[in-house]
Amino acid sequence: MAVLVPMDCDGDGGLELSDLPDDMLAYILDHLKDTRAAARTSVLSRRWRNLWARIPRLFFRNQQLHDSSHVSDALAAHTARVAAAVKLLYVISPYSATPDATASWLRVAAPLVSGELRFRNRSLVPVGTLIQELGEEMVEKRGILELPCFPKATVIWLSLGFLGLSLPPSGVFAALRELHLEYVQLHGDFTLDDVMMPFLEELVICRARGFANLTIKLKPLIRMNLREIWGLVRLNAVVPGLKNLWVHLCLYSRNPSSVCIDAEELEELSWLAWYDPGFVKFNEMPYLRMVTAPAVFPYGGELKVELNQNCQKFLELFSRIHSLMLVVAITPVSASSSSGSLHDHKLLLSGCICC
Amino acid sequence: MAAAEGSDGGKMIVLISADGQRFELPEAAAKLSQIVLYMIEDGCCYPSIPLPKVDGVILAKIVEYCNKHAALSSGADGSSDAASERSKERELKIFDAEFIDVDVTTLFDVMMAANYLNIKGLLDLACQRTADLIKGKSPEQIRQTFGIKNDFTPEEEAAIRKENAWAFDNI
Repeated sequence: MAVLVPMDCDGDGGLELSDLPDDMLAYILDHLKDTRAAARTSVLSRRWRNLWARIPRLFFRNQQLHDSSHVSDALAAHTARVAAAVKLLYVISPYSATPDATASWLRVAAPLVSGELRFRNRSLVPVGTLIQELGEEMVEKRGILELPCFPKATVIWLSLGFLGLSLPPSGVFAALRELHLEYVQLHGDFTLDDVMMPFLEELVICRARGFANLTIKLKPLIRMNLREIWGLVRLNAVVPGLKNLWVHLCLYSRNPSSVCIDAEELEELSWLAWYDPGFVKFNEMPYLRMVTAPAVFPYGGELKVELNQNCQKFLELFSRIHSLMLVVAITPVSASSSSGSLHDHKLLLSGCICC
Repeated sequence: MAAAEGSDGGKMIVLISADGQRFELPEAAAKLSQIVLYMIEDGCCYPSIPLPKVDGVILAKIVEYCNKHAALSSGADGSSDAASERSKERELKIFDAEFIDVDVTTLFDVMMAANYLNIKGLLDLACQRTADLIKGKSPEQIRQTFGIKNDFTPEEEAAIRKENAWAFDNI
């Protein structure tokens, strides 16, 4: 907090809450991390009436599946009281919020958020269950969330509990630097480009379900992390400014058609994923220094031969590597099936080899 | 001017409270205050730094906080492995919880002093503690806890509740 305020203690009585300046009271309310609770202080006394609206960070728990009107109402009330920008809007839906209910507050929020937008759907669902849903063939259809354009937001972080996501047909996310999508249901073509996100520097797509045909054409992008996109079949990335690329646990399904990565400035490549020179193409990467190759399996059944060839083929891509991170996956044989099962797939060793 | 040195060879800084009490602490601890940091950088910290807005009782608390946090901050003793970092974090968490478990008058004094001295960690700790005291209470309970006088008429209060129905409705 940057403001300096005089200590107007009267000398003998000690401070009371009412002696604190308004900025400090608002800062305390900010620490509630609960905008409804903060707004309930409006009835304490005249002085408190509009203090809550000074908070630049808004937090909501949206209990209802179909109705999120309190978020919209709160945003409208906040805007009506202060011209202050919303630096953070964080909405948590413990249960499965519907796309329509979610889109209705997103539309109100779109012009207001000038910092971060964070939304976590189905927050009460344990991560283990979500990961299980990631691999399920038959899935409950949850509908598609239409994300409106957030022209002033710098960070958008969406954990969708496997809602689908559609991007706006027009509009520019003119301030967006970071986009993070997780537990998202993809439906084929998904394109991110400079026209829509001209300043995006970091892109994370993590734990996505459904057939995915990704086209990523982003000049300013610096970091890209694609992780556990199970249905990834096509990836066309033209990312001339990219420095770090992580592709983990992708492309293991047996029907990928093409992956083409054009990242001339790339310095770090971490490819813990399937690699086949027949369908994965990298363009020249003259500045590459750090490479992480697909894991090596010293023990294991027949599968290990294929997996180790995967690593070998990947390494053949390079004539020389400055630093190589080699992950050696050792699957322990459990002594007793009950106690060992938890650790069955834990990696015991990862080593670093510099050549 | 020669700087004072502590037992471990590091520089010591002397702070003087409003009531003239003298507190000596390592420079690393004193620097947790942005205000003191600027004074050190500008070379106006010798022989001592007067803090005319902070009472001795409160400054003693502040010094205790800074000493603990500087001693346990990452890399203070040269060790940097993850396990010792975690144990230090735990120790600081326990320290913070006990440190801020004070009556509300002391709490607000510490808060305002942390704001004046610009010690963000301590300011946040005090504000979080106050927020925790507000959490889960009805407006009437909050008024009672903090001695806030309700200067609304019942009609006015009802109108505000209606206006902010989204905050008061049970959902």
